[in-house]
Amino acid sequence: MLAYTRRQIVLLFVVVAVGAGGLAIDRWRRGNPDVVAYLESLDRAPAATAAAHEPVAQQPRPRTRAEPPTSAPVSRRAAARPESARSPHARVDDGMPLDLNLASAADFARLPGVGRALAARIVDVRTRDGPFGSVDDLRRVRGVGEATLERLRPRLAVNTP
Amino acid sequence: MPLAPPALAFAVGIALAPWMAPRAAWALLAAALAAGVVVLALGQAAHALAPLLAAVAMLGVLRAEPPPLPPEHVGRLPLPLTARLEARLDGEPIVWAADRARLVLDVERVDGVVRTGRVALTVYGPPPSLADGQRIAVEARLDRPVGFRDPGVFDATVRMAREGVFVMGSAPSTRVVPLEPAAPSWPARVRRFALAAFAERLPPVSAGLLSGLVLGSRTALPADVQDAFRGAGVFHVLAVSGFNVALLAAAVWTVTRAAGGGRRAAAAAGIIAVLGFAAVVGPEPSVVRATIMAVLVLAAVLLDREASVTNGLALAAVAILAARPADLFDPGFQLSFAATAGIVAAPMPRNGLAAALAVSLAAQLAVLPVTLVHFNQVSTVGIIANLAAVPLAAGATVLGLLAVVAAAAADVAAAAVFGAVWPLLLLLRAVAALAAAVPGAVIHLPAPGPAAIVAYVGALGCGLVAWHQRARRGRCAALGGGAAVAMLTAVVLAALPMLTRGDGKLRIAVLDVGQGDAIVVEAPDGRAVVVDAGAGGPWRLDAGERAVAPFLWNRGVLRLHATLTTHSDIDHAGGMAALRRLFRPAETWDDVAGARTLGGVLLTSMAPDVPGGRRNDRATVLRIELGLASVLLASDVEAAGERALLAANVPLGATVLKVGHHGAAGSTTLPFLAAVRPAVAIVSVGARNPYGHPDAGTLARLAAVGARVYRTDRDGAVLMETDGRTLTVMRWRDRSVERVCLDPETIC
Repeated sequence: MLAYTRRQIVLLFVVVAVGAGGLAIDRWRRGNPDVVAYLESLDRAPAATAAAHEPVAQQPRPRTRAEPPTSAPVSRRAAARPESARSPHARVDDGMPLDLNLASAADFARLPGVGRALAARIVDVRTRDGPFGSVDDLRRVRGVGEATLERLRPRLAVNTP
Repeated sequence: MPLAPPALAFAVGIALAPWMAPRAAWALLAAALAAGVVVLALGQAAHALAPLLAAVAMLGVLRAEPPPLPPEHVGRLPLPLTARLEARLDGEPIVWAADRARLVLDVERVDGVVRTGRVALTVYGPPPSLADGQRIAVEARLDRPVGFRDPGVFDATVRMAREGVFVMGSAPSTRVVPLEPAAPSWPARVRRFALAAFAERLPPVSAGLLSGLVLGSRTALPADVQDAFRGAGVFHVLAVSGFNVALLAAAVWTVTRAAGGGRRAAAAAGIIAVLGFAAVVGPEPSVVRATIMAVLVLAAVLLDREASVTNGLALAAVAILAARPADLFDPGFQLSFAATAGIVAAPMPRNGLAAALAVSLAAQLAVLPVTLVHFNQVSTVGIIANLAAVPLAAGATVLGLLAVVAAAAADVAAAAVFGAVWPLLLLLRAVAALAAAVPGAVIHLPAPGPAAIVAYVGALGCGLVAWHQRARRGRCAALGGGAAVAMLTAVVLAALPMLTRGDGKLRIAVLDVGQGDAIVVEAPDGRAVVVDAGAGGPWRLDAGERAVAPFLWNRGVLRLHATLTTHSDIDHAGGMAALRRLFRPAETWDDVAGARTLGGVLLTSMAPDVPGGRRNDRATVLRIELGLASVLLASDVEAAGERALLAANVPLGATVLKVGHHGAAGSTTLPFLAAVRPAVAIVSVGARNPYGHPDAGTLARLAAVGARVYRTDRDGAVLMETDGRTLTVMRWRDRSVERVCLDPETIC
C-alpha cells in the first residue's frame, strides 16, 4: 500500500526540509525584528548613488495614483500605501537632513540602514507617543541602537520646537 | 505519488499541537530529518518513509501553533473600549435580521493610530449599504467575544479565534461612514446580481432556497425550512460544496462538448468556470476542496494523464491545512473531507439505483462521527431522502446557474428558466418537509469520545479491507470479525453516558447562558428536570437549543421528565420552546405549586403570593433537598416576593442559594438571607450585561453571611454534585472543584 520509489522519498524529504526551514526562519524573523531590519538594509546602496537611481524607481508610483479608482484592486493597492509620495521629500533624495517629525515612512526607508519595517515603526512611535524632541529621542524606537543613531545623525534633524 | 499518508500525518500533527511544546516538536523534527538522511544515505529508501512521516507530523504541530499577536494588533488594546475605527470590509455585510448586520473588518487605524487585526462588528438599525473591500470609519464599542462556557456546549469564541477574530464591536448603523465609494469586486457583483435576480423573479421562500442551492447563501431562507432540511438529513444541498462544483464542471463540460469543442477545450472551460465559481461563493473549506479536486481532474484531461481522486483529496487537505491549520476543527472541513473520503473508499456497485444508494450510505457512514460530535444528531431518513433530494437539488442548481446567465442575457430566456426551476424548488421543499415529518427522522445522541471514534473508524477500515480480501476466505472472515468487534466496542463506548445514568447522585448544573437562567436538575435515578432555559426565540441566539440541549444530550439525557418555567420573562422562558420540542417532557410544573419527590429528592415549588406585584415577584421558587443537601432556586424574586415567602413561613434554609434576579440590588435582602443561610451562592448572570448585575451591595451581603460566591459570568457553568452528605461544586471555566462538608459528625 505504501509503495514509494526512491525519487518520491527524496522529493518528500526535500519538501519537508524546505517546509521546516521556512517555519524556522519565519519564527526567527518574528523574534528578531532588529536583526531582520539590519539584514534588509544590507544591500541598500549608500545615499549618493541611491539618489541617481531614485527617479527611475519612483516613476511608476505617481501613475498608479493618477489612475481613477474605478477598479477595486488598483485603488486598494494604492490606498494600502498611505504614506507614499505625499511628502515633498518623496521625489528626489536631495541629501538634505530629514526632519524627524515631518518625514514620511517612505522618506525614512530611503535612509541608509533603514528598512521598510523600521521606517514604519518610527512613524508609529511618532503617531502614538507624540513628536520627537531631538534626534537622540529616536532611541525610543525599538530597533534604533547607538550605532544606528550615530550612522543616521548627519541625515536627521528636528526643526520643529 | 500517494499523498494520503503525508496528508494524514500533517493532520495528526495539527491535532497533537495543543499537547506538544514547540521545543519538543523542533527536536523531534530535527531528529526525524536526520534519521531520514542517514537511512537514505544507506540506500534504504523504503525505510526512510517512517521518519519522514514523523517529520511531516511535526511540521503540522509547528504550523498549528498560533503566532503571538503582533504589538499593534487590536487584540492588544485594553478592552472594553469605545474608539473610532478605520477599516476595510473583509467580505460582504451579512444581514441576518431586518435591523442587524454583521461586518468583518480588517482594521487599519484605531483612534488615528495604525493597528492591525480583525474585528467582527454588529451593526444595529437599517443595514448600511456597503461592499466587500470598502473602507469605512465607525465609532464602535469594542470588547472581547463571549460564548457559552458549559460542558459539552460549543463555545462560539473558539470559532471566532479560528477565523482570527479576537475583538467584537457593536455600533448603530448611523455611525458607519464610508470613506470611499463602494466598489464591489467582480465576484461580489456577480453574487449580488444573482441574488437580486432570484429575489426578483421567484417568490421569497423559493428565491431563498435557490440562493442556498446555488450560492450557499441561506440568510433569506426561513428558519423552519432550514430545520426541515436538517431534519431530513439533506441540509448539505443548502451549502455550497463539492456537489455544486462537480455539477458546474459537468455542465460546462457537456455544453462545450455539445457545441463541438474537443476534450481539452471542455476541460479548459471547466477549469475557468470552476475557479470563477469559487471566487464568487468564497473560500469555504468545502469549496476549496472541491475546486482543487476538480481542477486536478480537468487538468489531467488537459495533460492526457490519469488523475487519482485520492491524491486530489489529500492535496486539497494539505493545501487547506497549510494555509489555515485551525480549519481541521471546523465542522465544514470535517464533513466535506469525511464524506468525500467515504465515497472514494467505499466499494460502488455498477447498477444506477444501487450506486446512488451506496454513495448516500457511504457518505452518511463517514460523516456520522462528525455530525454526532458537532451537532449530536443522526439522520435516519437521510439515506432515502437523499435519493430524491439530490437529483432535485442537482436539477435546480444547474437551472439556477443557467438562470443567472439567462438573466444577464435576455428577459425572455430568464422567464423561461425561472419558470422551469420553480416546480423543482417546490418539490425539493416537499421532499424535505415529508422526510422531516417522519417520526424519529432525527435521533439525538451524546457526542462519542475519541476512543469510540477510533473504534468506529477502525471498524469501517477493517470492513473495507475485508471486502477487498473477499477472495481469500480465511482472511476475510478474520477481518470481518475484527470489524464487528470494533463496531460493538464503538457502540458501547458511545452509549456509555446513557448506560451510566442514575448513579444515586443528585446533580444540579447552573449553566452559563449569558444573561438569563438555565438550571438542569438530574435526580439520583437519572430523570432530569430543567428549570428555565435562558433567552431564546426568533432572531436571537436560542440558549435552549444552543446550550441546554447539547448539555443534556452529552450527559446522556434524551428525554426530560419535566420542565419548570419560573416566570415568563424572555431570559428565563425564551429557550423553553426549543427544549420542549426536542425533549418532549412528560410533565410541566409551571402552574402547580407543591411538593414532589423524584428518585428520593424532595422538590418543593413555591409561588410567592404578592397581589398586584411585579412579574419577577410572582416567579416560582424551587427548593430541592436530598439528605443534608438543599438548594434554593430563587428565580427572579425581588424584595416583595422575598417578604411574601418569609411571611408564608415555608422552609427556606438551604446549603446553596441560586441568587435571585441575577444578583440585582433589589433582591437578596438581609432578612431573606438570614432565613436561607447559604454556604454557597450562585449568581447566574451574563458578562457585561446592561443592567449592572450583579450589584456590589448584593455581593457584599452574600459575603457578610459567609457564602462562597460563584458567578456564571466569570466561572462559566457551575456544576454541583451531592450524595446527601457532601457537596462538590465545580467551576467549569477552570475545572476547579471545591467540597462542602454537610455532616458535622463525619470527616470528608
